[in-house]
Amino acid sequence: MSQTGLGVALKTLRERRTLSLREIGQLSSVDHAYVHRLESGEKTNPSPDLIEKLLRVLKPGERDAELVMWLVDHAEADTRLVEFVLDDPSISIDIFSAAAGVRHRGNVRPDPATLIARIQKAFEDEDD
Amino acid sequence: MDEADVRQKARAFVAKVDVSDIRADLTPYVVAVNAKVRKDELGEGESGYTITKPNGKHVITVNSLETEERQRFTVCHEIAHIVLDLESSHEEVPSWSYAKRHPNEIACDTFAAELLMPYQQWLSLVPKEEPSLELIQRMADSFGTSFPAAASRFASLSDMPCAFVTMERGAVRYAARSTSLRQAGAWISPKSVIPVGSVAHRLRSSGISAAETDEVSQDIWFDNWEKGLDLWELSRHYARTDTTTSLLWFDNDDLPEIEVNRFGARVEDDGGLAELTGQLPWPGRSRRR
Repeated sequence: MSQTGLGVALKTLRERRTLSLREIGQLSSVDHAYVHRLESGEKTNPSPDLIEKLLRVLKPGERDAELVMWLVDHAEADTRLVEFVLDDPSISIDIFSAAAGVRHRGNVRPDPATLIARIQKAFEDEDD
Repeated sequence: MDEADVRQKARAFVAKVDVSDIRADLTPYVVAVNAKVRKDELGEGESGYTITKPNGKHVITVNSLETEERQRFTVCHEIAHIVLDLESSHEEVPSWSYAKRHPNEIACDTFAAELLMPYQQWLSLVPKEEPSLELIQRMADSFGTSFPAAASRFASLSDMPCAFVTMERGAVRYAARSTSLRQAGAWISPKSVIPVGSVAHRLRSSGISAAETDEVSQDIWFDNWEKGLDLWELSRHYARTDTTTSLLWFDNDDLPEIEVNRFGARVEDDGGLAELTGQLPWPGRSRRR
């Protein structure tokens, strides 16, 4: 199976804390094998309670916590976009969720930086 | 969501909008979905995209470098994404790929065709005559769509047995069929190769953009039918994109005879039992002494 946006986010946040799978398992009381399956994309629908346990240990900033919660309900999110946004704290959750929800026509997809720039421009424009 | 569902949803949407001037201006559709349209110079292969803002406003951007017809289709395709609430795939699809198109994209194209060429308007305008290059182009011009889009619409809504096939690099990508042809059980396999002996094959082999109409044996296109019947084929090849399109139709007289029940569904021959010959199929039982 392919990786999910949620999996990418959890793994990135865990590695930022320099925690191993066993360590996060012990600290959160969540089976480390299950955490691995979440990170790999094998599992995609964790309960809110379980996510809360993981976030308590990972201690992400407010935006990243919102990002994880959003990704729980949007398994289809583009992993490249998630990686890009995790690396740029200035991108708000609104900008990210709008970027993740863009519908495209044509064979070509913009790279995450271009996509984010487009969203920011659209948000700045008047609705008229 | 199947094709019939998509068409029903599209027609329900169209029914709520004033479409009297839709051939000139798509604004009624855009307003109906709380959207606005922007034009921007995008890269090749990117026709458009839709952003939804937190306040619910949708911003549809189309590639101003593409033809007006394609831009109109893109606007309607994006409206389809909005109304049908469908995501698009994140993955790029190389233009040479024979991969099946993403189902959401097919659904949005079907929806877009219904919006661009509302079926009541189409039926009131389309001449009751056999298709020709001139007829299809006239309809395309009337509705501000491409030739292939108009040909596909013609096939879908035609009373006569009719099909429209899109082929890319010599492989069938998509086929639209009229109701009578669907009911007749005609089938063109996706991903099958462009049939040798067809006008389409001849045009593509020439390597130049051209269009031609001719009569061909029906078994060239429909191999599940009896031989000996003819159909008409109007094909057009676009050399730049290596895309070939074919409009196929039968005179009603030439449609293979089939049995249909009162619901219009084809009665399938279930084979039945083999005729009894009187010869027992099992070996005689030997009696053990």
